[in-house]
Amino acid sequence: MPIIDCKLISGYTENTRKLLAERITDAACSSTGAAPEFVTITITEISPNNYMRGRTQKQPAKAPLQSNDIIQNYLNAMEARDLKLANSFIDDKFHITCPGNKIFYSLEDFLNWGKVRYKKIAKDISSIDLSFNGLDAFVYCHGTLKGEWLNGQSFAGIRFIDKFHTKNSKIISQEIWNDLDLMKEA
Amino acid sequence: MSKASFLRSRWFEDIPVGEFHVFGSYTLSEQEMVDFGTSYAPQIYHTDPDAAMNTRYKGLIASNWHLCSIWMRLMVDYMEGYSLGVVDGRRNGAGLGFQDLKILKPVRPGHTLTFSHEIIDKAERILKNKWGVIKSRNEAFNHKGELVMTFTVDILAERNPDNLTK
Repeated sequence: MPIIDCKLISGYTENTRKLLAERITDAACSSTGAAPEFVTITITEISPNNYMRGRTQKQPAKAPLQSNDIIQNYLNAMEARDLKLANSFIDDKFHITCPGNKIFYSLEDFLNWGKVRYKKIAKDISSIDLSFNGLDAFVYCHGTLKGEWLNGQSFAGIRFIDKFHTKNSKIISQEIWNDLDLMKEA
Repeated sequence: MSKASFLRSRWFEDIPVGEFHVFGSYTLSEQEMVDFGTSYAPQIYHTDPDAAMNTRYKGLIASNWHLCSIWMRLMVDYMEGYSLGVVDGRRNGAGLGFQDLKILKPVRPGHTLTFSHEIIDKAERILKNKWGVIKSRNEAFNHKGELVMTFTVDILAERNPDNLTK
């Protein structure tokens, strides 16, 4: 029955406080084995006037865009072929690793490569899952692919999983696994 | 550091096998095929659309050397895009030669080809205590997604001086 009290400087949004409580609950469950219904989280807010660090009163920092939202926005931009928007989510060292260990350093190259494989493609996302290691977040997006081959035949239900690494609100890498080539040969 | 600076400032050791680039797409016209054939590959299936109908190709086809020249142009334009505004051009050295050029499908007027480049090997040898050798597979696919041309190229890439014999 873990009971965890968090002290936060006041000013964070309700959504940020709810997210914090959910993630602390998950951390408590995975580390102690307690079921979520037995984990209690309380948040005590402290006025900035009553908070001082290094002889300086502080204000709450702006909560970052969450990694799952970054990935969802990035995937939406890629599906709409809005490269300007998609590029705004990625780091300068961003790369995509595809099946067969093909490593792309530009989204333009990745989309151009798709042009010799299919006419169009879209994702039906089953879930987007998150894990963390400090400021590094790992986002797993999986589901199925649908679209149209170059010969005009449609396809659907092809499994995929993408692993994203994000840091400081930017996507560092994307690793892709799917059955696209297997289904094309079938 | 921009994307271009990041890519251009890497040493041989930093470039992974599997690195994949798409130089772009190119649509060939009949006139361009005839012009190239007339200048550099004067065989009727490259120069005369009517006469080409009576050859085994049943029409005009692009010369192998024309396809290689298009690859060269797209490759240079693509790589220049990465070097814009970057003073440090240490990464690339000279090409050491082509191997295994194969033309697998005829390319006809109106066909659009997409050219790709994949690093497939990094040799252990060190040349002149400075250069490593990177092997790439270069391919062209037509509008149907069919592989029409493939060859490999070895190019020099500068090794990190910190790893070389002083």
